Amino acid sequence: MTAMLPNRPFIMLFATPIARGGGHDTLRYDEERQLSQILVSGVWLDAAMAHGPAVRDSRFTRVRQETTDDE
Amino acid sequence: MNESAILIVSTVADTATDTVVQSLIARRVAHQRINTEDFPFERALTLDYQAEGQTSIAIGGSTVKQTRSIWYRRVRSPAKPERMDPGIYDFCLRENRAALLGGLLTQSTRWMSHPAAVWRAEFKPYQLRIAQEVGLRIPKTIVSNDPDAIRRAFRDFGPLIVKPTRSGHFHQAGEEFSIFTSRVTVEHLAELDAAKWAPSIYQEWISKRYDIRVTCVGSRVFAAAIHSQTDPAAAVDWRQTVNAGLPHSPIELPAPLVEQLQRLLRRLDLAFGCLDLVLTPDNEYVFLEVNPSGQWLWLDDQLNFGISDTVAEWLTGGVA
Repeated sequence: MTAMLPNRPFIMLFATPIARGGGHDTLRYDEERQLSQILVSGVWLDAAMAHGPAVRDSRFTRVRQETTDDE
Repeated sequence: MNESAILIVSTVADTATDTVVQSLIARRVAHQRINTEDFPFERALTLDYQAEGQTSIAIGGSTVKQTRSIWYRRVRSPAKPERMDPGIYDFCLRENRAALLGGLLTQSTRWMSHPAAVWRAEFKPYQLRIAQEVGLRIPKTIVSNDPDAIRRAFRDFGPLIVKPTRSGHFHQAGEEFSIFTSRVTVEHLAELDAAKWAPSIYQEWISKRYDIRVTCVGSRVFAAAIHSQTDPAAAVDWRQTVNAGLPHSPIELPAPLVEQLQRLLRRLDLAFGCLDLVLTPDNEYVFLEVNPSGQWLWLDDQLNFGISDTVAEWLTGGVA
């Protein structure tokens, strides 16, 4: 539970800090194949094909971002 | 571009999109992916209103003439260009959104799902009403920023949870935060006057045998039990745990419940939806919410559901 500040909605009592940016700085896009790639141990891999504990974790925690529009 | 291609509206950051694109490549199905964060600073967009009643969309000089289906998956804003004034940046984003989404709305095709349906369904207070109308049990609920009404709910509903009305994601002082579904205890009531700053959803706490995640792709239904009560960090909201090994298992839902869930999606005009439910210790199913553009990759990983392939199949017309 976070400390309450003035003019801060009640629900923000329950806010949890999360890692910034979701690792987007390690993303790039292969225009021709229309596929994203992520940097894993210095190697660019297709995001859909990358495996390993970190990828598995991010696929699970990605469920936290389910709204269609980031507006 | 091929006249019967599939148009995918998404972002470079959505891996679920990549898995569907790979499935389309494997099927040799023509498709065009647009990453919405490319607009307007990296890529040009032109809508051209033609005499014959069609509106063509040109992206980077290439015309999207006709689509067999459009997957409206994600919209993500571009980063602010260096030295651009924040007010001008906001103006550019608003104008871009009106042009890009307005152009998409002109297209008559098969949608997963139509943007207007997605926007409407993302209003949780609305979807709860429709869920009730199709016969699903929902928790006793108020949506309010009135501290007195919330105190009454605390008295009348028994143990309460609070969750965001829209999205629990926000920034403060350079940090990023999420708000998950949380238990409201008597100790929190002293702070309740601050509820006036933003309405939230307050619901009776539903005891769980386990959580359920149902992913619907057209008529196909993939149901998973999420054994949230095995992990204290997942007990109230399973999204809160970082334990990717949280146990899951495939389950069969009763046919009448499946019919209710499909009726809900039809009422919301959604071709795709991720539905969250709870199974109580008394074996009663309680609907919590539906996400019109939810995630599923971890379910394909853990349970081998094949949801990505099913989305690709739907987009090609192979799933009703």
